[in-house]
Amino acid sequence: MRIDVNCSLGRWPFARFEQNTPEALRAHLAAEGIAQALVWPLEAALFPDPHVCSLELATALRDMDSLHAVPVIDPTLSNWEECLSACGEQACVRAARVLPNYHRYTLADESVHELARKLVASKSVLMIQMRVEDERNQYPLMKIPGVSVDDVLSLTVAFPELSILCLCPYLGEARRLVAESTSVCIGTSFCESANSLHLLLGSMPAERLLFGSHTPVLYTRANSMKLDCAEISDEDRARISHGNARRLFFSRPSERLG
Amino acid sequence: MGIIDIHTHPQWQNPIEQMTETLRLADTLDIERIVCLGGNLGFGYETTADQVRQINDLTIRLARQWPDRIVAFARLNAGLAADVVVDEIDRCVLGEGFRGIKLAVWPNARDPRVDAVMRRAAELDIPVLHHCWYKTVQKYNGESDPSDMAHLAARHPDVKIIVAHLDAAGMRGVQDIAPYPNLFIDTSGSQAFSGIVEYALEHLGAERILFGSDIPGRDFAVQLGRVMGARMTDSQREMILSRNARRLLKLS
Repeated sequence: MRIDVNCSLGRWPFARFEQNTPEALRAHLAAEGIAQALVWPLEAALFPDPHVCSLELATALRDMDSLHAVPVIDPTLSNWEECLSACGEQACVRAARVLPNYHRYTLADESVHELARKLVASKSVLMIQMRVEDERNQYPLMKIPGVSVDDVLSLTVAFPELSILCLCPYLGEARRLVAESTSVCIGTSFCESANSLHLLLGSMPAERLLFGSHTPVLYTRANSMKLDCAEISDEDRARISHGNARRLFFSRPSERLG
Repeated sequence: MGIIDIHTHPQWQNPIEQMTETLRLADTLDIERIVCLGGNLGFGYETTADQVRQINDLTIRLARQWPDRIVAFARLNAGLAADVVVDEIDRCVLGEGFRGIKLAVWPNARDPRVDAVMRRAAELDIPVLHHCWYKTVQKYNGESDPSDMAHLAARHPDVKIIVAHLDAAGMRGVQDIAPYPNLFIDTSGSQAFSGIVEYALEHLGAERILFGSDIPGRDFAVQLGRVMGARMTDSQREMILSRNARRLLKLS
């Protein structure tokens, strides 16, 4: 019953993916042993109005039991609440994803605080995309730095009740985010060192880690094997594999988004 | 099929304990042998002759302790005087049975000083593994990219050169090295970005791709997942994980 909190669907200018339809993605994840996935619209990173992509994805996944659309919200655009509300009508998970560095704002922006207030009120999760690619390997004319860890931590101080899930932080960033906050959880996809998860659990509780493969940008198997082969207890493996995601996204009574 | 990992480094603090742990982890994933490329031991990349000897002394120590598990490569600074570099190659290869040479970040592969290393590699018929990365940011002084590897391969067609980090070569890098049959590539690099293994298979062929993890900075399981998760035949996977390295390193 593995739950993947970090999947995407859509075109990306710098790669070709075989999992480019909802059914292809569902079948691929099922073959990799992933029963449920939170999916964001990959094109929203670069599309001028990411809410167009979020609404399209919400519609495309409306009738799929195993793929759950998470809208990408750009709170600096005037239509963000409309998008959040419309996507919330269709979603069974309560979350919004932001890509501050792709959309050219920081987490200190007042518009982010407005979004945060809304998410706290609806008991929803803010998913922060720290990066999509390794900065070193980006297309030379499109250099997008990672999101500042300091900015995430400042947001946790301003909104201590806001649940935050950071996707694609590096291992060092993940350690700091967990050590210096109580409300940040981490997606596993970019955290890597020898025996990655064993190492991470030396400095953080398993309750703060959620399985995320970053499919289709990364090979799904890479992160599956990271978890399957990790020298950790079965209890911790279950928490990371699905328990924490179930608790964070599927089991909490929540107010309607938007 | 015992897997051969063509790209690993030792840790410079508690190296014996750390290598014991690395080999224990390797056992859990059927990784039979690892190629130890040396580490910079905190010296940086523009190392002195004495520092190069210290780096290789550690590799000698590890290879003597685990002769059936560790395949040793001599780590060099090709920017040093040619006679110093050749003496170090001979100390490691002729004296200790090292099976290859590792060239790291500095100097760049186009630098004519690299030629002395390559000539000796040709005479000894051993492969050279060269660090390589097409970087958008964080590029080191002198750091080579795949176009530099092509230049090196053209100058030394009789030396088998393993280009490090397929992930960091990208499609452009694969195209750079494709015309040179003496260039091979290892699968290590960054996180396991999808599609590049299949692209390399199409344009280089499985016989020119070797599995590498870059442990301890990386995770054996994740880096194996890159190969296990890519679309290919069982025969191609066996070549990448084992057969190509055995042939190149002359292992039984």
